[in-house]
Amino acid sequence: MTSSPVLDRRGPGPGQPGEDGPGFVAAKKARRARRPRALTAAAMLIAAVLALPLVFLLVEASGSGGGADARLIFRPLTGELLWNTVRLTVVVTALCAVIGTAAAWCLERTNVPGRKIWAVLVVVPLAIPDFVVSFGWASLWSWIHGFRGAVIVMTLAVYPLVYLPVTASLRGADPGQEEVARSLGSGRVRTFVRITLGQARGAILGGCLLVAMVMLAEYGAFEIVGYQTFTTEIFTEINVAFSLPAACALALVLVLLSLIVLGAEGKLRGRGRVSRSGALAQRVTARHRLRRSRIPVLAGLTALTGLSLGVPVGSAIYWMAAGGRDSLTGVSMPMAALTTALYGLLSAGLATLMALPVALLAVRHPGRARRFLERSTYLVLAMPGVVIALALSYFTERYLGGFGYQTAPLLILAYAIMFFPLALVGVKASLARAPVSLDEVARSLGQPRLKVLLRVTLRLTGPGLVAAFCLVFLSVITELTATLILIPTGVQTLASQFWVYETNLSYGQAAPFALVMIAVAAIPSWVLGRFFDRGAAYPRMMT
Amino acid sequence: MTLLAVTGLDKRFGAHQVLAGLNLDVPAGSLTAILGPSGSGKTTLLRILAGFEHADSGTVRIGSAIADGPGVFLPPERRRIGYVPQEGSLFPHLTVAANVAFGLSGRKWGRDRRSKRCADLLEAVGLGGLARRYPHQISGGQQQRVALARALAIAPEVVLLDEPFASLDANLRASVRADVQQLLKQSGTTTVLVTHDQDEALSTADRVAVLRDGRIAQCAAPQELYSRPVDADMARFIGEANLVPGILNGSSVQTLLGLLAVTGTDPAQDGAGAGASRNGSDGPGHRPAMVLIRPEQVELVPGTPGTPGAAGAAEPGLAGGGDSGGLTGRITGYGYHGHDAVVTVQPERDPQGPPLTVRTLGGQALAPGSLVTLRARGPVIAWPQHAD
Repeated sequence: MTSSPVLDRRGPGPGQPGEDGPGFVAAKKARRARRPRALTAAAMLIAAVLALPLVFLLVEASGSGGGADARLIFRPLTGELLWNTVRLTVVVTALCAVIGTAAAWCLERTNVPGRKIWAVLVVVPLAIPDFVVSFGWASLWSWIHGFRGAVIVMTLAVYPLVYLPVTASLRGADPGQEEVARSLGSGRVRTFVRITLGQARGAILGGCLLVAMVMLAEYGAFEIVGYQTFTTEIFTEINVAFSLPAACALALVLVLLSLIVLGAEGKLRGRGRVSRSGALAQRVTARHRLRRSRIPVLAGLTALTGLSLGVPVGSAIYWMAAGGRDSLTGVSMPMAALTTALYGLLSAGLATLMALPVALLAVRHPGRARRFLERSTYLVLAMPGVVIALALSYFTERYLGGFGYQTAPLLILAYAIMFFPLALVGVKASLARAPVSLDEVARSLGQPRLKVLLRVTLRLTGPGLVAAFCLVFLSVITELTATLILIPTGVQTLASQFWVYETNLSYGQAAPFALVMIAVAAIPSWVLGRFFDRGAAYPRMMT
Repeated sequence: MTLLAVTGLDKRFGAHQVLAGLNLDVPAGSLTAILGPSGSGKTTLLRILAGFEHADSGTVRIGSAIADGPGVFLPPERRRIGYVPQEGSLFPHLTVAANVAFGLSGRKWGRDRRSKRCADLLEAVGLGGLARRYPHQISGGQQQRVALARALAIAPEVVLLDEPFASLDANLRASVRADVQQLLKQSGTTTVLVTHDQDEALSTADRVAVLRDGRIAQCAAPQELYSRPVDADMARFIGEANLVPGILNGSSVQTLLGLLAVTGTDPAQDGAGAGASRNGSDGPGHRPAMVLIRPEQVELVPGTPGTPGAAGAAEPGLAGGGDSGGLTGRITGYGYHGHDAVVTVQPERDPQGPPLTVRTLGGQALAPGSLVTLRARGPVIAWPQHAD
């Protein structure tokens, strides 16, 4: 090192610390560390808004007197719905776990040809709304019906929910563990079962939870294949029988089911935590070299993408072609697309904004009370869209005399509540990328709070926030259930217009809507794919 | 001149009192190490100095300004304290140059001056060619140097280093440490270094403050700390120590190694005055005492004094004024380190007592079990023991 004039202490820079008066900040409450009061207040308000639907539901249940609800719940129909819902959820979740994990392992850990292309194709079905997949299959083949139809359609529609987290976890896993297991005399299969699956366990469970929750909440796809679950029955009670009390009674059971799923996942996950010791630079795991097994792996991937992607897209194109000029006679398309985009942007913005204070508290200011606050927002997960829509309509009808019912703000609020957990996950993950120590260093370098937020925190969390926004946007534009209940009269979104045509059996006119929804949703899912890719690259940068 | 003055600092986390009435003065231009075992509150102290934590009570003064005191709190960005955290914490989204220039934003700094200063600093830490790299593209040692350059860029009053070398491997650590030390000396920057590594503290710092029970137990130059620890615990904490009982009489002490001269401890030099007993003062007559004899103050010769032809018997000029031919003992352990050897010896006269540790130049091979003669060289430190 050489001597240099820059090191002169009398070098440029501001004078003595605190010399300029405003530096002194009188602490109001003698010597207490700053508590995030404003943040806590905001988070509490948000938690209260999120709890509204559940509160309404409970108010309704207690208002109707236990007797009426009990009569509505304890009837043979409930048992039948329970059996239908549970067996479908279990079978589809299990299938998705197997297919999603297998696909993730093949694409992450083997040298199967064309990995990059497969990795995109395998995720795209997530962008196709479940009811569009259902439409694609059921409109072509009449045997896609009932339980069998529901299993096929839903498995193909939602397996990426397992694939995505497992891929991320396999990519982030410590290759050293597998190597150590092999060196300790454990064979390939044994290592895979004990180490690889163990590392991915949290991701698999997380994915399965998402699948199960989708199964409990799905309406459109089941309606099309004629399979009755709690959600379809609740929907019928609201929109066809106009019986809110019956709907609320069933909704209570559905919320209970969701809570059971959530609880089970929490319990299973709690037993084993995947930790990664040492923050050393990450090495990339060597890929398994496929030889003879290359053909079956390629065949499997082809079949998977063909069935999950090819059939729905092909079917939509087929119907559009068959419809000929009739397909495009509807003038409603541009208007519906605009409405959908607007609703999507507004509710994605609202949900992301709502997630920020809660996530900031959880990540930056851990504490028991605040953790409880964050946890409480997860209750929303237990409320399928149909329940949230039901609770909000019940509220407007009962307390506001119908004011606000079927208006855009209420629908946007419903979307924001429904997809808040998605936004929260994304925002939390992105905040974790900007550790507090970086803020501290930035402040010690003379940067005030606001500048630190702009120059460091937001720069690091920006991509994650965009991803969270896109995740909500994607979910909103393909949402059908709450939309059908709460949409303002005379307005149509892509999904609701599609539904109108589909239920009229105007497949030719429904098809263009299906295709547009697939195309529009594919863009955010591409952004998400990139986000997940970078998610794996980032830890390496942080060390 | 004292640049950084801490008085009566208290900090508690829940029921755990981390700092209890801590006092510390850091002279301008010095490199002061805060030495303490993990969990002793070193990092908490550093974070209070930097303004990341608020003290429960007490005052932190930087230069002429109060940074943390009753009713006053100077936020970190106004303290002009350069902070280098343990992991370096470079901004991952910025290049090395942009990291260094981070604190130089604003209108005050034109673009040209900013890039000039940035280049000069990178040159100074020996990383001139890496300006365009991103943090993940450079090594851990380089990251630490960038973190230091970034902290120095704002011409800070004080630089705080939080175990900055702990994450580096041993080879790298020595060289990075030497470079950093030289750089800080050159720039005349006042530095506070937090470490749990004794060698690091003694070899790097001008002054070492030992943190114990939430306060500074002693703050002194490394030599002073080693040769005049305030109490027996401190003697054991810094380096190896033989602590033997003795009878203090005026300026000498009678131990099982003979009569040894005692150094007077200048009371004015006692660090924080953490209850250290003064010796050689007004104690009348013979008083029991605890005596510190460093391993290198003991001389070892093979054989017993009585043995004809034993080297020790002919050794001229027994230092320390031993009144006998020395202490006979049996070797129980022998650790060879090349340049020297550390030998543990069980005195024959006191077979149940603690063995003595002796440091010898590494020439002679000594078999465990053989008899040797020990002689001590004064002067030594003795603490009078209170009869209880």
